[in-house]
Amino acid sequence: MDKKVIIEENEEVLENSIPENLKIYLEKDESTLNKIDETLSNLDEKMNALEKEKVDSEKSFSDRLAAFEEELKKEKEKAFDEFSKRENEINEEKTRVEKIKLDEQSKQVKYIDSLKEISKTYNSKINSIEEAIKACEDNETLAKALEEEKNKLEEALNNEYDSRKTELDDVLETIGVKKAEVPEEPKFDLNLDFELPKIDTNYDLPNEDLLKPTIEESYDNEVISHESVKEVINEIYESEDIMENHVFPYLRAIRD
Amino acid sequence: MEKLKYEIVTLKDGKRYFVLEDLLYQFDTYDLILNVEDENDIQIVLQEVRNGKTILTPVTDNDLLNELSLQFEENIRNKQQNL
Repeated sequence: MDKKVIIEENEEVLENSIPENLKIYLEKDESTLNKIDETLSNLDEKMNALEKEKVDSEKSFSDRLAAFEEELKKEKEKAFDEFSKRENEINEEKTRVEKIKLDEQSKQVKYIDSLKEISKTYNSKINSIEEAIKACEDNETLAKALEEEKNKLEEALNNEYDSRKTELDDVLETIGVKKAEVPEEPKFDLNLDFELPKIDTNYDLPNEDLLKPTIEESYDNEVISHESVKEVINEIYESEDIMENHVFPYLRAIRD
Repeated sequence: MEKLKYEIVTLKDGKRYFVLEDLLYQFDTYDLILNVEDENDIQIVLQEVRNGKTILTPVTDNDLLNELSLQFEENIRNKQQNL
C-alpha cells in the first residue's frame, strides 16, 4: 500500500474518529514522525552525495588508467627502441669480426704457403748438401756451411712465426681480446736436426772410402724404384669397391 | 724430396704400393699407400730421406694418425668430385 495513502487514511481516522480532547496526546507522535522524515531526507541527500562522489571517482580512475597506459606505452616503445639499437650494434660488431676472420683466414693460407715454401727450400738444400758431402773431401767446410744453412732456415721460420703472431695479437686486440691464444713457441715440429755423416778426417791422402758415410743403414721399407701410373690411380679413385669398401673404411677405422 | 703421388713404389722387401695421396703436415710428408696385390693392405706412412734413400715408415702415433686420416679422406673426396 502506498505510503501517501496510509498517511491520508491516518489523518482521516484522526480527524473523524479521535475526540478533540484526545488529539493533544497525539502531538508527540506527530513530532516523532516529522523527525523520522527529516532523518530520511538527510539519508537521501547523503545517498545522492555518495552517488555523485562515486561517479566522480570512477571518472578519475578511468582518467588515471588512461594516463598510466599512455605512459607505459611510451616506456615500452622507448625500451624496444633501445633493444633495436643494441641489436644493430651487435650485428655491426659481428659483421666486423666476421670480416676480420675472413681476412685472417685468407692471410693464413698465404702464411701456410710461405711456411711450405721455406720447408721446400730447406728440404732441397739439405738434399743438395748431403749429396755434396758424399762427393767432396772438405768436410769441415761443408759441415759449417750446413750449419749456417740450418741457422738461416730456423731464423726465417722464426721470423715468419713472430710476424704472424704479432699480427694475430693485433687482430685480437682489435676485437677486444687482449692476447692471442697461440703458443709461445712454434707448435710445428721442425725436424731440423739430423746426423752428419761421420767421416774420419785423420788421413793424409784423399781416400775415396773415407769420403762415404760410415752409416750404411738398410731398410726393408726403402723405396728402390717407382714409376708413374696416374691413370691407374685415377681408376682406383673411381672404383667404388676399392674406395668405399677398403680405403674409406680404413681411414674411418683409425678414428673410431 | 721425391714426389711419389700417382706412382707405384717398389720397396726393398719386394712389396709394391700405389701412392694414392700425399700430404704435407707440419713440415713432414705423409703418403697414403695401397698394396698392389692386397687391397686390405693400406697404410699411412711418413716419407723421409735418410742418407739419400727414400724411406716409407708406417705412422704409429694415434693422434697424428687421426688427424692425417681426416685430411686424407677430405682430400680424396674433393678429388673424386673433380674427376
